Amino acid sequence: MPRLDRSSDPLWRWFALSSVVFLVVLAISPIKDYFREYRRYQESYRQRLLAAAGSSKELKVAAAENVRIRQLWIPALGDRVDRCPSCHLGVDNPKMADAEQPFRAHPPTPHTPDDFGRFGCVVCHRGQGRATSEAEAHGQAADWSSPLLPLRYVEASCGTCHLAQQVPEASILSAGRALMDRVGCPGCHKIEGRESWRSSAPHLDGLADKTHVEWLRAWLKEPRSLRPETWMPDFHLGDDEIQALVAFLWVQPARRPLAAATDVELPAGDPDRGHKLFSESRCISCHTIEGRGNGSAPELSGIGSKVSRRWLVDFLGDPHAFQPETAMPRYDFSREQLLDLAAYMVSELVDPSAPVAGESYHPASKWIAEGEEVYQKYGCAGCHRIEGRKDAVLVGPDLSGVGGKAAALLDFGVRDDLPHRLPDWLAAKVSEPRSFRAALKMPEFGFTPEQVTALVTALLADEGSAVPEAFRVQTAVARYSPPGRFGQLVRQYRCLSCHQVEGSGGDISTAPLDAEGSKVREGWLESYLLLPTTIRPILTERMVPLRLSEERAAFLANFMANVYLDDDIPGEIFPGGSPPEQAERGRRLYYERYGCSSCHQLAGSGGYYGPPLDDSPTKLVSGWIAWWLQGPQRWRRDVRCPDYGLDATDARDLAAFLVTPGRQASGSRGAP
Amino acid sequence: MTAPARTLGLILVALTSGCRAPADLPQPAASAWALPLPDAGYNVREGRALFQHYCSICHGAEGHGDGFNAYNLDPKPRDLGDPGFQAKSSDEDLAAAIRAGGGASGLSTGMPPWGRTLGERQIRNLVLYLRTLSPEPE
Repeated sequence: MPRLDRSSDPLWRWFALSSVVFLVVLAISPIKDYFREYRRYQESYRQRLLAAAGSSKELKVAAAENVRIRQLWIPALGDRVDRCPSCHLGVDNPKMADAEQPFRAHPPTPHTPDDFGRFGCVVCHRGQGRATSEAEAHGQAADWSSPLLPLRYVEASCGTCHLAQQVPEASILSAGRALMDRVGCPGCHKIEGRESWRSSAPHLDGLADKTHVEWLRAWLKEPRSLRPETWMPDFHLGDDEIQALVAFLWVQPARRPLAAATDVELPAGDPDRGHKLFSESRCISCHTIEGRGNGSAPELSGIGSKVSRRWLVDFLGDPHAFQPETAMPRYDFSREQLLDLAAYMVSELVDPSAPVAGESYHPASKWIAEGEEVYQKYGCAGCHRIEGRKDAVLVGPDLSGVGGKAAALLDFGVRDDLPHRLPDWLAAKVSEPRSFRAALKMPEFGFTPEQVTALVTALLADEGSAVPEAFRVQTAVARYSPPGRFGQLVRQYRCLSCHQVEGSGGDISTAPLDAEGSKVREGWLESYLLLPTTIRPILTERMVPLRLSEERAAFLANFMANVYLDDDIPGEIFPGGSPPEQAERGRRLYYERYGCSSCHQLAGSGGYYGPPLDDSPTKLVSGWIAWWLQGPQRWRRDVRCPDYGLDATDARDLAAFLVTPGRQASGSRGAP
Repeated sequence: MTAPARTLGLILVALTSGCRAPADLPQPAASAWALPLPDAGYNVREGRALFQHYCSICHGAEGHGDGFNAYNLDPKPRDLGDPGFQAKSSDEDLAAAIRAGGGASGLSTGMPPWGRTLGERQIRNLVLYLRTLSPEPE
C-alpha cells in the first residue's frame, strides 16, 4: 500500500494555506482593537491615578482599573452610545481640572457635571459616539456627517433643546437668534422656530410722497453709504436694476394719501420750537442722532435729506396709518407742533453728503415692468410691504436643518480657500454671500466677525433631527393683549414696545408692568405718566412723555394700581407712618452695612446706577421695598441689584428708612 | 510563497489603517472667524457675559476700574487687569471677593456680595474671565 504523501497533495496545501488566511482574518479585529489609542490612554491614566493616590483606598481603586471600553448609554435620546469616556477618562474627575487632554475634567456648565448620564457627550459636541479611535470619534472620517463642533460654536447645542429666542446661559446663541430676527433672515429663509417673525421694515407704497428719486437711487446703490448702521443689506444692484426698481416703486400708490398736495401749501413751522419739542419728547429713547440713543429705531441725523416735509407732518401725526406694525407711539401732537417738529427735522437733521432732490420724475412703463421683476427676484417683499400686493416671500433656500448638513452636500462654488466644514461654510455665506458664484441673490450685510460667530451659532442649532419632546425646553410665545379702553390706550401709545406684561412686549424698559400696582403709589404713577422724570440717569432709554391728558393719565394709573398687582407682594406695612427707631436703624443699614449708596443717589450722594431714592416716600409702596430687598431677582431674573440675603427685620427697617418723608442722611455723606 | 505573504501583508495594512496615529491625519486649517476673545470655549464666554451684565458698570468694560459709575465711588473700583493684583490674588481669593463682597474682608461695602445672585459655576466662570483681562495699554 503506497504511503499517502499529504504534503504533496495540492488539495492539502490549499487547505493549509486557507486555514492560515482564515486565522489571520479572524485576528484582524482584535489586533485593530489592540492598537487603538484608548488602551494607551487608559494605561497612562491608571499610572496617573496611582501616582496621585492619596490614600490606600484610592490606590486600590486605581489598581483595580482595567482596560475596557467605557461608554454612556442614553436610551431616552434614541439609544445613543457615547464611548468618549474610553479616552476622556478624567471628564468627571474634579482632580483633572488642569490635566492635558484627553484626561481633562469637563469645565462646569449648566448641565455639567450633573447631567453626564442624562445627555452624554455627542448631543452637545457632535462627533461619532460609537467610534473607538480618535479620528473616527471626532468625525474626521470623510463620510461622517457630523464632525466635532468647534468650541467657538458649542452654544449651538444649547439651542438644540432650548428653543426660545433668548437662552440666558448661552449669550452667543441668544445674540445670534436676536440678530437673525433683527436683520430679517426669516424674510427670505424658512427657519425653524422663527415662523411667527414679522418684519418691521418700512412699507414701500407712496414713496413718491415720502422721499425723492435721487435719495432712493443712492440708497439702493449702497444703503450703508447713507446710513452706516442700517440693517438694509447691500444687494449690489446694477445700474439698470436700480433704474427699474426705482421706476416700479415710484408708481405704487400710497396706502395713506397725504393731506397737503405740496410742501408749498403747508404753513411754515418754527424750527426752534421744533427742536425743543424734539428734545422734550426724548425721541432718542428709541432713535439715534449720530449714533447717540437706543438704536431700536432708525438713525435720524440724515432724515431731512430723505423725507419730504408734508410726509413727515402726516407721519408724525399718525405713524400707525403709514405703518400699522410700527413700535412708535401715536403722540397727540397739535397741528402747530407737527409743523414745528417737521420744520426742525427737515432743516437741521440733514446729511450734507446725501443727494439732493432733482426735477420731478415720471418713469417709463418699460422700466416699471422690469422693476417689478427685480422686486420679485430679490424678494423685497420678504421684509417690505406694498399695500394691495401679494408677492412671494421666502425667496432664499429653506434653512430647516441647515445645522446638521454634511459638508459633502454643501456647494462651495469657487471658494476653494475654505476648509470643507459646515461652520466655515456658514460663516463665509453670511459674511461674503456673493463670493461663492456669480448670479447669487443673497445680499451682503456687513456683519462684524463677532456677529458672524453669533449667527453661525444660531444656524448650527437647528440640526434637523429634533430631540425627543421630553428634552425640549420651549416657552410658549406670549401674546398678551390688554382689554378695553386700557388696551386701546396701550396700543395707541405702544407701551408694549418697551415694557413687558405677562412676558409679552419689548425689552427696552427693565421694568415689567405686571406688578406695577404693587410697586408704586397710584398718585406717583399718575404724575409720572403726565411728566416722566428720569428714573435711571445712566440710561439713554427713558420713558417718553406721551402728552397724555390728565384724564387719561388718571385712568391708566388707576387701572394699573388695581389690576397690575401681585398677591405675594405686601402693600403698605406702616399704615400709621414708619416708626422712627426702625427708620433710624434702616438709615445705618443703608449707609454702613450694605453698599446701597454705591448705586443709588440719596440726599445728594451716591452712585448713578440704580434709581435715585429721594422720591421713594411718595413713589414706592413700603411692603414692596421690603419684598424686593429680600430677593430682587424675583422681580425679574436678570435684575442687577444684588440679593444681599436680608432677613425680614433688616428689610423692614430699610423700607421704613426709605419711606420716611424728608429724611436726611444725618450729616453722613456716603459710608462713614 | 512570497506573493501570498505580500498580499496578506497588504490586506493587514489596509484593514488596520484606521489605527493611524492622529498626527498623520490632515488637520483642518484654522478658521478665519475668530472672536476677539481667547477661544476658550463656553466658560470664559459665560464669565464675560456675566461681567458685562453685573460688573462693568463700576469696573469698566475692560475691567480697568473705569466704569460709568466708578467716579461716584470712594474708594474707586479695582483695576482688575493690574498684573500685581492678578499675581497676588488666587482664584479662590477672587471667587471669595465676588461671593462675599468687599465688606466681608474689611474693604469697601461698595463692592456688594454676589453669592446669592450668582451660582458657584457662574462665579468660577467669572474668575476664569477675570484671568483673561490684560493690563491697560500704555
